[in-house]
Amino acid sequence: MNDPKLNKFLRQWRDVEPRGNFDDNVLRRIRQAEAIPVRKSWFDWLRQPALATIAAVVIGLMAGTIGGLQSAPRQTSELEFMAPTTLTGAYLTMRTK
Amino acid sequence: MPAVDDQLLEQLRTGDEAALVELMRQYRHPIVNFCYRMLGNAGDANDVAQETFVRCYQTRQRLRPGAKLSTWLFTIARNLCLDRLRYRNRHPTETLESAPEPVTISNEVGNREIGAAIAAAVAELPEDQRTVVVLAEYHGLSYSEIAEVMNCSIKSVETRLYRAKQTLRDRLRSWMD
Repeated sequence: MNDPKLNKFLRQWRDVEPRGNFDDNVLRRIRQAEAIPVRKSWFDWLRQPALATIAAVVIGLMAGTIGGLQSAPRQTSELEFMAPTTLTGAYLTMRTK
Repeated sequence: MPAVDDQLLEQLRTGDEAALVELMRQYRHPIVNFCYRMLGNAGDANDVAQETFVRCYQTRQRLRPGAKLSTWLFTIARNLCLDRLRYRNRHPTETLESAPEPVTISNEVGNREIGAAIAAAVAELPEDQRTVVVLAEYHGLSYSEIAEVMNCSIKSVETRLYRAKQTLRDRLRSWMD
């Protein structure tokens, strides 16, 4: 929409001037930001080769241990034959009643 | 819009502060006024414009040769303005001092009153329409440049500008007649 009347009218909104110390403030802010030590995130720490290797080994060991435990055959208890679902267990339950 | 040569861009990328000072000399006025028209407050506008140049310097390595500094600066400035507007919405009681300056419209028609009426009308536009109007009308950016700043299509820029001008014409009709 080309509306010369509106465009001309809008131009009557005058500009403001930047503050006198504008450039100095910008340079000061940059120096302040550079003076603050950058906090390292966990991810940054892991980017160091030695730490990354150690982390990988620890994670691998943990995964291996957990996986091993879950896949190992379940050990049967010596007294499992007395469980309530077995014939012996049912007999024992009957006797104790 | 002042032209920025590749040499200045290259100097800025190497961290040359003199290049930053030259960049500010060329762009501080348009960036402050863009922020002023987006935020409606000269104090906030100066603050956000200063932060724009700080971010520009801090992220100078991302500038590619041939990049247009004006659109890059306006993009940073717009994002910072949006952050400031969101902050105002979240903390209405803390930001009374930085809220848009009160608009007083008297019967006496002067430049100041007209400016206040335009400011009020523009401030009521949705943010995306306001950005398009300000960049097109006050900074002379092309549709493709505005699309780059706003990360949208040229068609979308055209639509937003059309709607914004329709609204402004309605709201300012009594002033223009």
